[in-house]
Amino acid sequence: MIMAVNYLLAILGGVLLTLMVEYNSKLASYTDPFLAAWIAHGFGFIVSVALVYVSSIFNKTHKNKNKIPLWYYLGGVPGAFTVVLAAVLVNNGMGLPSAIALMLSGQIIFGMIIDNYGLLDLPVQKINRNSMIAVILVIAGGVLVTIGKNVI
Amino acid sequence: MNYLIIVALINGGFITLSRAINGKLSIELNPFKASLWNHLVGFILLSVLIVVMNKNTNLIKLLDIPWFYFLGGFFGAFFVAVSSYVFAKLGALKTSVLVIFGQMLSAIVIEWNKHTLYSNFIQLLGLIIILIGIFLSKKANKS
Repeated sequence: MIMAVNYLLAILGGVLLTLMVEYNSKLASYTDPFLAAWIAHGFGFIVSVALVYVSSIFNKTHKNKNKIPLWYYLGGVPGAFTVVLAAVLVNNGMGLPSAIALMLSGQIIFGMIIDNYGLLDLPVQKINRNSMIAVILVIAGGVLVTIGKNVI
Repeated sequence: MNYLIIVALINGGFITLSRAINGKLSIELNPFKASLWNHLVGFILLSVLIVVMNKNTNLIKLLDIPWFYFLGGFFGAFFVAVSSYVFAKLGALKTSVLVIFGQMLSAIVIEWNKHTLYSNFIQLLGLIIILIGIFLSKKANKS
């Protein structure tokens, strides 16, 4: 049951991502991808401060005593570079559908590697035949959805 | 062109890397704080890049932009919180696969009327293939 909730949340995450990309690309059409990403991060920061504040009203119990490694705070670095590199790709003539399809593949392949070796102190989830086929199907499906957009 | 393909694949890896790190932080603190740090660090890094690259920011022009174009940051704050939380629970592969499904599904729904029937058919076919993949990835750890 809890698993099903997590699955639905992850799918909701994808919906949020679509909305984010949609609005950020509108913003980019007014400015450019860099500035749009910069503005989006600024607004995102303000909104997340509000979210932290609101959530702290409801949940005061959680108090962390562990020493947190510095790199745990640096998720924004690869996140920001994603925007920069995506702009580089499109500026150098790679079509947006190809860029999306390839980034989607890189995402899944890297996810599989992380899980298999338990990189970044994450729990090990070994690659097997099923996960291999799943990965190929998801990449193929993603490519179809992306390319299908431009088929007349 | 070939090096661009490598760059695009690595860029996809960056997306997962970012989610993984935010996921770690969300376990230690909470998903909202993970989102806060993600946006703060990203904002600082992009500010530095904009200065270094000497970009013409022309902030006055921003006032002409309709307010709802700024909603991307709003959705982004929620997205990072949700994806960090889920990442910590499901791991890298399942999170990627499910987020991609949600992304593709919503993209198809939003643009449904903009495309031809044939185009919609191909996209739906892609979505079904992703679903089969998800079903398999769910079973992946059990066999």
